[in-house]
Amino acid sequence: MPRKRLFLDTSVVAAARERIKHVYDIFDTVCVQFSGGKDSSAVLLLAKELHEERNLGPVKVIFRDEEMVSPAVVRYLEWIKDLDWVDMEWYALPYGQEVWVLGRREYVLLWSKQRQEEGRLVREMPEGAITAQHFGLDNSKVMPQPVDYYTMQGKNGRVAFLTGIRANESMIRYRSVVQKLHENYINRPYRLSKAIPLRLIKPIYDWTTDDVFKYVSEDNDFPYCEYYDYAAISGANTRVGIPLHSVAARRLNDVVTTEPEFYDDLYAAFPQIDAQRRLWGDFDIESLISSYSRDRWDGVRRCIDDNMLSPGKHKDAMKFAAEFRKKRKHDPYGYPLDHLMRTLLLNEFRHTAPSPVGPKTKAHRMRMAAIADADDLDKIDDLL
Amino acid sequence: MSELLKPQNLKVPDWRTTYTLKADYLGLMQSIKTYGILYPIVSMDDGTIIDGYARWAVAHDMGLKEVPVTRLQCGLGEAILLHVQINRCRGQVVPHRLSRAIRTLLKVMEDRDIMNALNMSEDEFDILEDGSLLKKRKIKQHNYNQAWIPIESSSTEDFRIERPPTPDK
Repeated sequence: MPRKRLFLDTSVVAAARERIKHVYDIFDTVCVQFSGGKDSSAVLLLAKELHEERNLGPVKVIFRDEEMVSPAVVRYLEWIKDLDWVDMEWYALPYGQEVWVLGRREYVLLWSKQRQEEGRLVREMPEGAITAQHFGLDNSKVMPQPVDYYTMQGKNGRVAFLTGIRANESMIRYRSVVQKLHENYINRPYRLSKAIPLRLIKPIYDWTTDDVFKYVSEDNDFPYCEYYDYAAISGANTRVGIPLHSVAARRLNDVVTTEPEFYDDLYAAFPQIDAQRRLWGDFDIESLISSYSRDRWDGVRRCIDDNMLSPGKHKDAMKFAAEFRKKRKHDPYGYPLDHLMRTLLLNEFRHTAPSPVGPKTKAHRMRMAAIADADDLDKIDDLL
Repeated sequence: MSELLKPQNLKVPDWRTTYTLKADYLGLMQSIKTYGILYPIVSMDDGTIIDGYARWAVAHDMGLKEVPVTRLQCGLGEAILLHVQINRCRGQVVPHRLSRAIRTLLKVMEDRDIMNALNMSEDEFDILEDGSLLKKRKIKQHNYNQAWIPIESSSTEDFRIERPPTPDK
């Protein structure tokens, strides 16, 4: 059934306070999952309010350090960590991460032992961080369990991680908070065993960016990460996060205009990214998609061989293409080959099932045009 | 060693890779009016410009009689490579550092003089002078939004996603 929003006679701040109180009432352990961004700063301050009201002591905070973190964010995190009302656990665990350059994809291992030995980590391993060694593993391989499994170790009873996820950041995030009707802001973590009693909480899901800045800066007079000022005066993206995956890398020049020294650190670790910085503005990805699409399934194979540079990524792409082929057999209009190429080159496809072309996409427009012009068999043939 | 040459004695190469925007051209003209040409133009022995086309164009338009030129004895291939190297490896202005520099300048200069000297619009100047997003986003004037919960409905609604201020490609 479709969803709509029902607006309440209360402000987003009052509603978030109620949600947080409810979470503290029904969970045994509550931690703030902090990223250094403005949204998690707002959540941290909301938790602090309740800790003071109920005399709960320092707020438990978890930070998952993904190595490619901007220097401004690291400075802010270090400042937060030293606050006397914060009790932070800083995790630096080896997980796979995509590096995307002009459609070419490869996995790299965050905090990799090999890169560490070669002096090619983006940053030094932070002092006092909780690493793979703390779990009897080492940083030469990907951690076998999802990250939430490790960050919730040692927490008592039912555990809640408060996050700063907001609905208006993306349609995926919007859907994640409208799916449930009761306690819609309390969700089970993706891919984590049902036996593990952890829930992710989104207490500020209905806030806008301006609500966040007003609450943090005006109401609490609390500093936010200075990266946001850098971004504001340069028109850059205001998300703090890994800058090299398939979506963020398309705005790699934002890193150069906001924190060029960070770009240098990334470049030292992954020199291939410089091609993305220099050429993406003029790169004709559509022509590349067309050239692969012309060769049909041979083109799909070529696209995967040319662009999936690490074995794991190649395997994931082959698996995704095989699933796409099955769906295409039943609905060739909904699954045109250029849609597959576009997904392989531009979008996230790991752990996702192929979806049909959606409204407002180029593939969808072409498909509708072909259906409207049914006499034009060549056009339909092209689509198939 | 540089020498003084008439602008007419220099030539624009047909392999030039750079383009100077009008706004940058006007800014350069302002600088040359105030300080002159501080760095010599680099050319081949026959006067073909390797680096400094914009300085040459400004000098030409302003009717300067002479410009400083460093002539290099090099072949065509070497000249093109040098031209590309110089331009590809040139640094760029970092906005938050420029913002800091503007605030320092304000201690010794008036707003208007800075805007004129740097060929800056008032909007650009305001953002750089403030250096923070709070003024730009008008956070002081903002009233908190109403909270909402999801409900079932027979139709969907258009939900607005916040996008970055500059378009994504």
